[in-house]
Amino acid sequence: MRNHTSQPKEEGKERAGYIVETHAVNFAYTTRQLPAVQQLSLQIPKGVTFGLLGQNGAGKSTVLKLITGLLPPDTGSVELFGQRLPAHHRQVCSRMGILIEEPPLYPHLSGWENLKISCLYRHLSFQRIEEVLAIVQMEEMALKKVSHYSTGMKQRLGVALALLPDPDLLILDEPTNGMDPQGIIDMRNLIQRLQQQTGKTTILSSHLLHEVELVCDYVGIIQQGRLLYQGSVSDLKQQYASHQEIFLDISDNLKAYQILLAHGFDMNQASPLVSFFVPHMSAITQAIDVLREAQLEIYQIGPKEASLEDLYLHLTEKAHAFIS
Amino acid sequence: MHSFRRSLEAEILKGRNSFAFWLAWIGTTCILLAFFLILWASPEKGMSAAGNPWKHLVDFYYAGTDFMLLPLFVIIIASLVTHLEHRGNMWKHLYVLGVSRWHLYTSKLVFIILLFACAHAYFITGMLLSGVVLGILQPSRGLLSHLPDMGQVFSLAFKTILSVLGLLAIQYWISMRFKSFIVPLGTGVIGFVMATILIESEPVVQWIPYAYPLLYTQVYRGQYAVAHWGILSEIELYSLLYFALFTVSGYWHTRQMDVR
Repeated sequence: MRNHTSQPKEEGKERAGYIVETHAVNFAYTTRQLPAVQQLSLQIPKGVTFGLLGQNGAGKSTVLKLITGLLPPDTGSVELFGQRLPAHHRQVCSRMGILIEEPPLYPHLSGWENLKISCLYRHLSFQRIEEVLAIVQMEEMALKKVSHYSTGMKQRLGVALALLPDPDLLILDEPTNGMDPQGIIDMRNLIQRLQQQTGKTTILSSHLLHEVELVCDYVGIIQQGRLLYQGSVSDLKQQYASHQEIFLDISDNLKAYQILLAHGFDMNQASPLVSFFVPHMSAITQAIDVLREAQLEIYQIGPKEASLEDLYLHLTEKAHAFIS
Repeated sequence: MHSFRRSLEAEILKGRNSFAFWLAWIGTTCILLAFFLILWASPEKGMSAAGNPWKHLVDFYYAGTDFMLLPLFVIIIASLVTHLEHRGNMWKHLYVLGVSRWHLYTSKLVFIILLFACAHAYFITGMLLSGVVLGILQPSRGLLSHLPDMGQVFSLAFKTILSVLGLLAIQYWISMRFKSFIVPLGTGVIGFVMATILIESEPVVQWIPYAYPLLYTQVYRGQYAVAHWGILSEIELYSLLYFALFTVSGYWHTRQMDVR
């Protein structure tokens, strides 16, 4: 499978521009199991919000654990801020904030006390607690016991814990897990706010494609431990423009469908409207010509904006077909 | 040292209001209450015709707690303290904070010892207070006309803490090693039962750290002969050796611990 990689516009190819770099990383939990990660070469530029996409079990959490030094790669190398892991794990710890899987909280303590524990371990001033509570908008609930928190509040407190060291890299693994729709919106707003206010590099893993599309400018798509794509969302869309879908609003849908099919257009049979795929943009003029020749009235014609979900499905289906 | 102090401070904060914390206080209160009720209901118990009545009272309290209650108390406390981290898979979080594993391991161990020592100090305070109350309620005991022998109390307290250190380090290591609360608890109970069965078998029992809280009281009463090195008996020395051995192996295991 080809690994499409687009370079960040402002950072170029400079190694210093990447906060995370992995080189041909392989990792298996046990020797008897299939590798959880295969030939992973990932580059995450500084200052981006990077979405790591994949189904459940695709290897997202394993990739994050490799990046954070929680797992040592079997082969290949992992570099964080240009420092090799796991050898320099302690040095890079203070520069990253992590929320992996469940938020690490002691339920018998208050939110404030949970933050204080992290401050003690990280040698931070307790003043920072008030600052992160303000960022996640939890000042009023801080003195309540965590056992009385909702899932959304626990996740927000988990983000606050990750933000305590004012990290250069923020890693959030499925931060909307188990949340209700309002909680998901709140978390999305929080991530967007962080992005706008601090410009931190954020890695966000999720299987909620729509959420990732709303907050991330860069994505990595992973399937069965293999990286299918990494780069900007706009580049991904551009790369798959050859698979552009065009929709039509026309006087006679059935006739238009038959004419275009007869002229060899790749019709989308699943669409309730007349729509077809074009290999290149000049095919649109060709379609208009044949429809006008047949005296059909064209009220509207335009490209259907490909969502990240469409692109994800396209990529993963292609990869699946390739593997099988 | 600064890092260790902050790690210990974090442990103390985590321990506050935890189940282990409440068990230490409520458990000790219940024990004190039970002993007080026994003595109050049976005025002949904890008394002797001659000598300082406080000595017999203190002996009575220690004889009851050292064998039956201390090993179980240590087993449960060590399991509960480490279970706090296992429950929410906190190890992962602690390791990515970049905290030294040595500080993590030792601060938790020191916290368990401190919790045990504080509960024991509370036990001693309660024991002395109940002696005063018994002295008021039952003047025939003569407790108010004598002063407690604090040398005896401190010596017993010191030897109690030394005698449990070996089994505490073993239980702590097992609790760190296994996520399930059942494994350290089960192992502790097996060790305790073995110590009870083998208590009469002198050559064997002195190698079982779960028996040391009883053996040291027997040594103290002159019922069990062992060699002494200064203020330490063979039993306390073995307990310290077990403590050192299992602290080192426990730390080695923590260093290798896979948090995937």
